[in-house]
Amino acid sequence: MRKYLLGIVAVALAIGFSAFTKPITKKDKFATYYFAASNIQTLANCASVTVTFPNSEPPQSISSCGGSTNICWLAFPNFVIDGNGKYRPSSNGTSELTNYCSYTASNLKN
Amino acid sequence: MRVPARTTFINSVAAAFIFLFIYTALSKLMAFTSFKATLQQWPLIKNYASVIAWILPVTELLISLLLFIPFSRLAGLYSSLAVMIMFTLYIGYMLVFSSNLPCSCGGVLKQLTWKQHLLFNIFFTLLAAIAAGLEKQRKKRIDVV
Repeated sequence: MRKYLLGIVAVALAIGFSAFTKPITKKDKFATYYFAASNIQTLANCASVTVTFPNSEPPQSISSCGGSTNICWLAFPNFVIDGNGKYRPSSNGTSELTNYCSYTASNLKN
Repeated sequence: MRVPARTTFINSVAAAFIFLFIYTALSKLMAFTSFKATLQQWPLIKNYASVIAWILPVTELLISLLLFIPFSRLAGLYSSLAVMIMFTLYIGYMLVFSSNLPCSCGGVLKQLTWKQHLLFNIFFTLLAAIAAGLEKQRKKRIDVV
């Protein structure tokens, strides 16, 4: 039994730890949103982004991504919450943000 | 009976990998949809994302089982070493070519930057290599006796 003791402790800790930590990105530092690729063109070359945060799982399949069924994503660092469920880039957001325009969708996922 | 320091080290490394692999596997499975969606954006593997999304956590759980059983611990340490080398090389690739992509790692590891993740992986790769070497020596000695 002693041979298995460390292993049993490790298994218990891993199960407990995974139950208490959510595997999502930290909202105030980095947000990842999934969306259909058909929106990419409207997102390009714009100055800022506004997204509605639905706080729900993404749909199993959303509309086509460049003709395929891929789910696409955008990652925005330095997000802030405006108090109305809207997530916006902070004033000191990185240059990545400057490449995207306003966008609101119901199938976004943090 | 006093347990040699070498055996304690091997068992501790095995336990650390059991914790790491079970934790990350469960985290991936609990957020399976977004994990798969992230993999679909990764270069080189995006065409196989659906399969890899299952293979990765299942492999991690199987390696944990190998590490858990003393008889198969050496095989588990070798498997851990192989998997860590693979992950480390891929992170190196991502760091050079696609560092703007999010990490699909499980749980809190997702909070690490690519560079932090690379260092983390190198550390665990070295641990696995040392522990596997020591366990091999220990087994040889037992076989001789």
